[in-house]
Amino acid sequence: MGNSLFVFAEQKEGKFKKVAYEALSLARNLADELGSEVEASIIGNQVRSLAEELKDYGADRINVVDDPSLKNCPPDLYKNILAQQIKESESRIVLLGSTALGADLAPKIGAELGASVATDCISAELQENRLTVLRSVYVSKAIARVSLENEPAILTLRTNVLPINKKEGKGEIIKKEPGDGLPDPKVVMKEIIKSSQGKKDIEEADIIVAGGRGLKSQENFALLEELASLMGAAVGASRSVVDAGWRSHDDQVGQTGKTVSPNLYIVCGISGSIQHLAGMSSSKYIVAINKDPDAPIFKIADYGIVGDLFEVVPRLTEEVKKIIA
Amino acid sequence: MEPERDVLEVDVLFVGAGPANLAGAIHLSTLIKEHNEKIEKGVLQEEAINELSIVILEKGKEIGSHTISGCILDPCTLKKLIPDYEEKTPPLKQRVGKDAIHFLTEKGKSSLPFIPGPLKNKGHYIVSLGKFVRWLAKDLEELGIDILCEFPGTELLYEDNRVIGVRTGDKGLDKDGNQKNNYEPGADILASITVLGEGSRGNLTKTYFQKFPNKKSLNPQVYAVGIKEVWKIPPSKNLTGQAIHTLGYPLDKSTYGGGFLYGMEDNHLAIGLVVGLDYKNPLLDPHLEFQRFKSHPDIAGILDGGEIISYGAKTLPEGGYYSISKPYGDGVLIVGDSAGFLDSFSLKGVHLAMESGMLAAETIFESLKKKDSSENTLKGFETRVKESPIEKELYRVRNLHQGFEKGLFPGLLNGMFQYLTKGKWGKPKEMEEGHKRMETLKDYYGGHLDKYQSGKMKFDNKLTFDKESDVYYSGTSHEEDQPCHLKLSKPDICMKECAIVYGNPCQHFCPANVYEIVEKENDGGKELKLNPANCVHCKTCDIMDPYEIIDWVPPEGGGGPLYKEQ
Repeated sequence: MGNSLFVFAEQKEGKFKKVAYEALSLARNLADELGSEVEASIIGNQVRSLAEELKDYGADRINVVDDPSLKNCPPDLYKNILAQQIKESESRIVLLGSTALGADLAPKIGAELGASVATDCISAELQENRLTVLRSVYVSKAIARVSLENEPAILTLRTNVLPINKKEGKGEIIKKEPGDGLPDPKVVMKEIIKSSQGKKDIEEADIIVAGGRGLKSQENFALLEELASLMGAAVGASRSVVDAGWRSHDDQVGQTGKTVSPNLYIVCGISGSIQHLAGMSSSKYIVAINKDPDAPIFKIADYGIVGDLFEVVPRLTEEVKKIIA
Repeated sequence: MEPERDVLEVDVLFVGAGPANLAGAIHLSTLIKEHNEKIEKGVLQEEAINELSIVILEKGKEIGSHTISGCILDPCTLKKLIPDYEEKTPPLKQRVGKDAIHFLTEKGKSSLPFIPGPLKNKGHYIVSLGKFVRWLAKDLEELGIDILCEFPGTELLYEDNRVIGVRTGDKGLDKDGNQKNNYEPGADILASITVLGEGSRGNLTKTYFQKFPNKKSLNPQVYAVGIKEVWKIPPSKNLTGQAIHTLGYPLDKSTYGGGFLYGMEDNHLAIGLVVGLDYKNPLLDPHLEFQRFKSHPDIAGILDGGEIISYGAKTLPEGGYYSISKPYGDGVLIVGDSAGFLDSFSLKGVHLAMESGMLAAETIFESLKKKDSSENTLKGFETRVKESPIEKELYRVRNLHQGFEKGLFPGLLNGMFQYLTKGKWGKPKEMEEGHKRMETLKDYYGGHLDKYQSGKMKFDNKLTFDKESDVYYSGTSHEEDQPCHLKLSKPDICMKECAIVYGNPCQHFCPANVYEIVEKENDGGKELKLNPANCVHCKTCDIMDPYEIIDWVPPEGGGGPLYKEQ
């Protein structure tokens, strides 16, 4: 078998997904351990210019397939292209993000290549030359340690868990054509309907300001939105306010919502049940604002303010305005 | 407009993959196999029963995910069902070595110097019922019996008065009942015989007796709710093999119930509190009472240094002999907890559930041979039950629960007398539905609500847990964008009447914080907020609501707890 690690560097509308950097960093570390190389793959339309950046994150070879037919992410074409690239490079380990696209591609490529597939992984290690991964299972209630027997081993990695490290690779860019001798796709992408315009995706955000029932009404979320827009942050929500219809399910943070790991998580009016913590506990810095001094959120907060958020948040917003000015 | 539904035709349909139906399905397969073998050998001159299709429906994600019990298993029925069970590596690793009964006060405890017969569990197994049913189910897969998980039975199908099958739940409806992209209408599963083994307060069983009130028993069924946790405790506590039952603290003399601690293998401890759902105090919170139970110095001492593994809750049918309605009809049989086969003195129902499953299987076998699944043949089920150990065991304690009407001590005395006289003591005693015994705020507290406030607790999330945290430990999850499965027929009553008269007991009696009274948006008073995704499927709300406006129906299949070791 070959000795490279293969990373699908997923991009959306000309920007890499955060998990692409995380996957590349992991690949670089594993490659250094094995004395291997890292091959990254970019697929899309008008994506040529993205390739260079991956050198900084450890890619030795960067395959670029750039073609108008690849606009709108037709999944079958992506699968065909990736499967062929993986076969050609004879990679032992393949990494993708645990995104909607990654979850779609991994099993299909796995089936085609007879690979072992593990999804939603939160870590991967080599133990005596065998790949062992940890996967989050049972709605984040347990972690399973899994070893993969077949090669290649295909992993999808959970976003916002693994670190991003800058480490230089050789950075050789290889242009590849789509379609040479590839089977016709069975699924054709007809249209992409966007759900919301111009909203920051909480999974990708570096700073999140989250609110819960303590906000008392849908209108009061304007307080958090003002603070968030000043900081370039996304606005998150607890299950409570999503259930009440005040916020969209896309913004729900927690066991049954999204898992986030921003640099800064400012949480207002959320008591901090285990279910919410499951979605944000790995945030780098947590600032909690709550008028209940016994709220469980204070146990994991790095900085806590016991106070009325209707007083504290506007004060905070004022201070941020001063810093920016 | 009625959607087009898939129709599946089977011979026998079991609803619920619990111990009763699994025993039933296994026994039925055994009877048919033996029957066909005898015919092959020429020993029997009858028609062979071939090509039988048997299906088991289960609303949980996997077998055992909704299964929870104390649990002490008397293996007597298992020995009949699978005589060589010991060679099949059953999950029966721990026998009871020592029984104890304690009477608790707030800080103290006194032990009963003797153990009444039914509570002598030495030699029985302490089990996780979930693990046990998963083991039972393994056999069935090999026998070619399909267990369809994530398939709740939502409606009984009838042809005139005959049950002809079950409709399963729709999938992929959003909060407002509109079809989502993954919409799939429920299927109609038609069967000659439907066996309802839905557990305590089964939703289909409930509708069956609403349709046929003349089949109802002398007394209504009365229930209790069991709140249980499984802990891993330090080996130094030396509780392995002990079966401890408690009375007294934290429940008062007029509240039926008691606690239990069962020392399982690997230093796992099953600990719980059972509270009768006929309590008087409208603000009683069984989950809170369980946390208080754990805070008793002796019990806190046992749990000290340990950690919680799992949480769950279920209701139990406590009415006994006179609360068992006719468990048969045209095309239908009712087994296990759904029928009410639970011995509330010995506190064990699994062996009786399995026994009832086996007797149902014998009745079905007869019905298949006669090619008659009408009441005429199926009434043979009741006859068989009356001639079985179930009758003997339940008759002996038939007025047990009624005896507690006057309080704890009269109840205990009554229970003892009845048991010692082998049930001859006591005429049939009437009983009313449990929720009718609930008193109003005015009558119970007489204006002294401070009595209640002092009962509240701060949870430390190490020994005691709030409801949301406990729900987390039950592994409960539901597809959140689906219609609410708690159907309230008159929601106006909640704030207009119940809040004033009873103080909204739902927020207290639900062990999963499904019902919350919260401030309205923009401080406009209070309202009921439902968190159906927390539901652990115990049915307490369906039972205990004083206005009888709550109807529990199954949520989308697969939702609910994910019990691993309950």
